[in-house]
Amino acid sequence: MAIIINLDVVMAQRKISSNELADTIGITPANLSILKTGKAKAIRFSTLEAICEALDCQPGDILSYEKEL
Amino acid sequence: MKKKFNTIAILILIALATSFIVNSSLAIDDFTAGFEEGFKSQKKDNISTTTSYWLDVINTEESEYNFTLTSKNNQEQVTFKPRVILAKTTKSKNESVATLSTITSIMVLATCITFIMSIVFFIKFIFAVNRGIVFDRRILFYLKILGWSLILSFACMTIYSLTSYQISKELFDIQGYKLLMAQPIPFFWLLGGLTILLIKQFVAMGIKMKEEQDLTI
Repeated sequence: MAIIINLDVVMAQRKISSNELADTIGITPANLSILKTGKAKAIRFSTLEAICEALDCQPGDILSYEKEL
Repeated sequence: MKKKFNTIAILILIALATSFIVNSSLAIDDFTAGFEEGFKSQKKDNISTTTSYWLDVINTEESEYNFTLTSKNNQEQVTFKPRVILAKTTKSKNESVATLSTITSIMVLATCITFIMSIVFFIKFIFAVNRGIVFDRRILFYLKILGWSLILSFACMTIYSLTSYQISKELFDIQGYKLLMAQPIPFFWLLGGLTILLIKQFVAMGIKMKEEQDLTI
């Protein structure tokens, strides 16, 4: 997929674990793992808002675009 | 919703079983007649020299109604022309007839097996849906086997019809009558099988949509 999820980078910078973040934003650790590994097909705005609030970051810090060759 | 689903499923099962019995009636008659003859000849300790065949005939000439029977209604003598005949003949030593007979026996057996498979997988599909397994890969598997087994049943019955017709043509030549195919080709089995494969594709689309929905965080 051309959209890259850099969630693990931001989590490492904020020193927050997957379980803590999952609890804070209200999704299961399994779903958070799906998001981190790039297997997710779509993300709701409400989830993105919750992540940005929990990690105190911008959507652009978590998502990036790389053109597929 | 489940009640309606189960009601329709039971009706389909009854229709499936009935169509199998109706379409296989001649094949089953052939099989049982042959089995009985073989059994009787074994009891008498001699090898049976005759075989029975069902023939579907149509009158080709403008001839008189040659056969008579007594009407139950008013005891009147009624004339008729036969349409379906059970003919007995000595066992043919013709190799091609023997080969065709073997093929018909194999096709009857194959049809029974594929039809039983279709009924088994149909029941598995109904039970799975009743357990709440709807958009799941197991349903796709059951529908695939069900569809293909119906199509295979159609293929086996078609071969049986054609080979039986060929045997009849090789053994009999009835003056004033034309031989027809005694066993009709069950096209609705092919239609049923293809429809089920189409439904399988529809369910596969549903599963893909569900997976995408499940992967929406």
